[in-house]
Amino acid sequence: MSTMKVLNQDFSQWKCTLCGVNLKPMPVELEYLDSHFNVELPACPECGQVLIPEDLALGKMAEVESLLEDK
Amino acid sequence: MRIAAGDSLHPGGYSLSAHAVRLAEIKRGARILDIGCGRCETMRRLHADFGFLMTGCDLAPRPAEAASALDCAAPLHVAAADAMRLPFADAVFDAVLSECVLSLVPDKDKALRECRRVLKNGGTLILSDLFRQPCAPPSASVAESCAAHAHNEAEFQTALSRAGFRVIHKEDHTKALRELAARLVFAGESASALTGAGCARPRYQLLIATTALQETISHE
Repeated sequence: MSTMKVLNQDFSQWKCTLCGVNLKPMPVELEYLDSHFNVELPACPECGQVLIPEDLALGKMAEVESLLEDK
Repeated sequence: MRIAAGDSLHPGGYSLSAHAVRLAEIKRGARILDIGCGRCETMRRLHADFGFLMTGCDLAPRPAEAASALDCAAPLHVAAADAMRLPFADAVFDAVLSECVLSLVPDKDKALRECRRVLKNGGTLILSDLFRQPCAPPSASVAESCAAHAHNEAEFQTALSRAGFRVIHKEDHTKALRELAARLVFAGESASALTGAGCARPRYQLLIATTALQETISHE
């Protein structure tokens, strides 16, 4: 399955506090209740730390969790 | 939808299709009809992976163009056709594949009779689709959705028997339906067409059915 683009904003100005490197859009695998999704998220190219914006967490991700929990 | 689901536009995608044909023990070289073949991705991959002789039909205009655009070693046979009026002779197929299609057909009895007609005696119907339990009618917000057209499970079992099929295996793949709905959400689309609400929330089932050994049903 292809990597899905889930964000419209540009996070290239964000820096990893550990590495001091600008974040880049990278493929990330999300897992919840044995379901896996390949999405593109801003991440540090050095250490791999991923940024999940609050509106993504409270929006799409919360909706997906609810769907997978069958509530 | 294609971003979320890939080219096999049904819950479970090609993985479920491959699992289903293995479960049904379809032999290499078998002639299989894929009803609602869309872009023919499932047909192409089943031919490449299992050596089946694939034929497809779909209501979509000029599906042959989609077939010719694919990079496949063997030509695919594709017809623009209605599932209620299959343009094939009696008893020509070893198996019929129907994935998330019959729930959208207006006359399911007619479609199932056509499936039976084109199948050889002892042939196999591999069907995956949306099913719901009897409950209050779905709300207006999902009235036009796929969920609203989900089969009533008990009624569909009866329809299969009427058409001359015997279910030999049933599996629940509702997880695949939820995952497809989740992918739609990630892609920025609404998932309400697949999910419904309350007791109208559909399940996704895989059924393997064989034809009862009887005289071939003549074309009406």
